Amino acid sequence: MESEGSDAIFPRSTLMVDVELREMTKKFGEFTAVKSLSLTVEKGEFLSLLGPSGCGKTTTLRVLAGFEEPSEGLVFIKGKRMNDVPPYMRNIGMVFQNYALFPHKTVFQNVAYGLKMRQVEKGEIDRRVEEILDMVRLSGFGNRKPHQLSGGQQQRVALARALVIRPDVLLLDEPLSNLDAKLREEMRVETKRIQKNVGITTVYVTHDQVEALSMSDRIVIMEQGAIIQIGTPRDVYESPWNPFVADFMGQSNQIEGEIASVGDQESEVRTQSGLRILVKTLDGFEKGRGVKVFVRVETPEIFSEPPPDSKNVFNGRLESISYHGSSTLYYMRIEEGTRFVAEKSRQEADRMRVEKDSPIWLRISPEYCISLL
Amino acid sequence: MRILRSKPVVWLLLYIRKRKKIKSLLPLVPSAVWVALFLFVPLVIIFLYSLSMRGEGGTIVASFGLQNYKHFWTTPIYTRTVFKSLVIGFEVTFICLIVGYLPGYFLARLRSVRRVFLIILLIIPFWTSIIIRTYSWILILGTQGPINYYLVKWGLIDQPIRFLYSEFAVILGLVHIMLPFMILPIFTCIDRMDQSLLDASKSLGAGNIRTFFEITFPLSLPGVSAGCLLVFIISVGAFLTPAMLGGPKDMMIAMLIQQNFLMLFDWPFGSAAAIVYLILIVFVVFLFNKMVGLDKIWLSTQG
Repeated sequence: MESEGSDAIFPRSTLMVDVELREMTKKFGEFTAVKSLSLTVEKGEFLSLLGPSGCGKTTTLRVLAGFEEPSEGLVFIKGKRMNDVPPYMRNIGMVFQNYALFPHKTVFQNVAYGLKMRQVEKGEIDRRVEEILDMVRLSGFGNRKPHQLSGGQQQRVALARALVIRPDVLLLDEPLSNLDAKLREEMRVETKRIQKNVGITTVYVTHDQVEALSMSDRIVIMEQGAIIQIGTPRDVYESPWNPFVADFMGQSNQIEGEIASVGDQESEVRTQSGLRILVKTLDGFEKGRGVKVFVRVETPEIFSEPPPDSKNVFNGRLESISYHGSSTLYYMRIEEGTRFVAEKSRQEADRMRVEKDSPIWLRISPEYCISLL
Repeated sequence: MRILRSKPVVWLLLYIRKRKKIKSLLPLVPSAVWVALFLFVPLVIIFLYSLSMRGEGGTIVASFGLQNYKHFWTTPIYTRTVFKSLVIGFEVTFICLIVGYLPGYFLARLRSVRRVFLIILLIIPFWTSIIIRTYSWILILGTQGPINYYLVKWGLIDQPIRFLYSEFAVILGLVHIMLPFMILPIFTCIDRMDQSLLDASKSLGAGNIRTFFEITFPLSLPGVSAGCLLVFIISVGAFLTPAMLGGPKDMMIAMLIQQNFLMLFDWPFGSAAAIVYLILIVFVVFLFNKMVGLDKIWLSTQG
C-alpha cells in the first residue's frame, strides 16, 4: 500500500505523530471547502476541530476518514500515506452525528461488524465485544436492536463499535449534538473517560465551544476552510489571536478604540465616545494605533456602591437583568453611553441585590482585557 | 339549522366530543361510506349471486347452495386456470425482481437531473393505455414483426418463430407493464436509506460489495416486498395481457370470470369464480403479512 516515494517525503514527522495533514485542499467544483490545511495530531491526543457550520471541519474529518479525496496535499495516518487508500483499508474508527447504527442488526452485531470484516475468529469476537460493551457500560444490551435504546445508549454503542476494532485513530463527528443538554454533559464526561482509558488518538469535530474546551488537549479553530488558531483550551479562550476567535469563544464585550498612551505595564485605550480603559501593554502598542478590546462577560466585577479602588472603574445604570438560574446576566449602560454585559454566579448575584435602573459600578481588571491590534 | 339544535343531535355531538377516539375517526367517514357503498355492498351481492343458480337464458334463480363452488373445484380446467394464474403471477414477480432491482438501486444512487429524467422515463408509459402497450408487442413479436424479420434475414432461423399467443408472450407483456411497480418501491426504499450507514460500514472495513450485501440489500427488503406484493397481485388478476398475447392454454382467472359473465351469461358461476379468486388473493396477502409483515413496508415508506 505504501510506496517508496511516500516514505521519502515523510521524514519530517516524529514517531509521536499519529495523524498528519500537509497542505490539504479540498474543492467541491468551484467551491473550496478547505484551503491548504496543515495539521498534526500526536499519539493519544484529543484534538478538536471547532468552528461555525460551513468552516470545513467536517470536510477535514471526512478526508481523514477517506470518504473524500483531497484535491491537493497529503494525508498521513501512523506514518503511512493515505491519499489513495479507501476508507475500508484505513483502520479508523468513526462515530457519526446520527450514530449510523445498522437498524437491522442487534447491538452485538453492530459492534461485532468491524471484527467480522477483519475475519477475527468467533470466540475472539465474542470476548472483545463483551469487553468493549462493558467499558461503555452496556453489558447485557447485546441482544437489543438500536431503536430500543435511548439516544445516549445509541451514542455509546456507536463509540464501542468504532473502538472495538482498535483503530489507529478515532474520528468523532459532532457525536453529542443530537442529545439533550443534560445528557450531553454526561456523555461529554463519559466519552472523555473512555477516550483516556483507551488512550486513543482522537479527532473531534464540533461547533460547541463548551465541548471543545472541556474535552480537548488542543483545539483547532477553523473559519472558511482555514485554521485560525491552534492551542490548548486555555490558550484559545484566554489568548485569542484575532477578533474572530475572541468573538467565537465565549461571550464578550467588544470595545473599539485607539491607544491614547503607552505605559510599561498598562496602556490606555480611548474609544470614539470618550471612554478610557486601561489594558495590559502588548508588543506593537504605539500611540494612535487602533485596537479592539474584548472583555469576557464573566470577568468584570460589579458593585452597587463605588468600590474603594478607582482604577478602571466605570459608573453606570443597570438596564436589565437576565436570570439564567445558575448565573445572572447584568446589562448596563456605563459612562459615555457604552453598553456592557457582566455575568455573575448565583452566589455573587444573591449578594448584589440590585434592581433595574439602579446605579452600578463596574471594575475591569486590565489583566482580563484582551486587546487585539 | 334547527335540526342541529334538536336534543338527539346535541347529545350525539356532546358524546362525540367526549369520546376522543370517535372524534379522531370522524375524518374517515367519507372514505368509509365510499368503501361500504361501492365495494362492500357489491361484494355481498356477488357473493349472493355465487350461491344462486343460472336459469333459462342467463337469468338468475335464487337459491342458497355451494353447487357453483363444487363445480369449480371439481372441474380440472377451472382449477388449472387458477393454478396457471398463480404460476404466471410468480413468474412475472420473479422476473420483475431480477430485472428491476438493479435499476431501482442505481436510480437511488443517482443524483440531480439525470435521476429525475430517468424517473420520468419510468413513469411516461403509464400515460399510454395498457391496450396500446400490449398491442405493440403483437407487432414486435408477430411472425411478420421486426424480430422474426431480422432473425430470418441474418439466417439464424429458417422459419419465423411463433412468439405470440404463448405463455412466453404473456409473461413478457406482463413484465413490461409491471416493471415500474417493482422498480419504484425498491428505489424509494434505497433512496430513503441513511447514507451514513454506508459510510459507517466502510469505516469498519467493509468494501463496496460487502457493504451492499450486509447493509444495503437487507435494508432494501421492505421495498422488495412491497414491489413483489404489488406485482404479484396485479399480475395474477391480469386480464388484457393474457387475453391479447396468450393462447387458449394461457387462460387466466380474470378471463374465466369475464367469459362467464359476458359470453356464457352464467353470472352465478362467474360470481363464484370471482369469490374464489378474491379468497386466494386475501390468503396470499395474509401469508405475506405473516412472513414479512406489512407494517414493515409501511414503516419503510414513512422513512
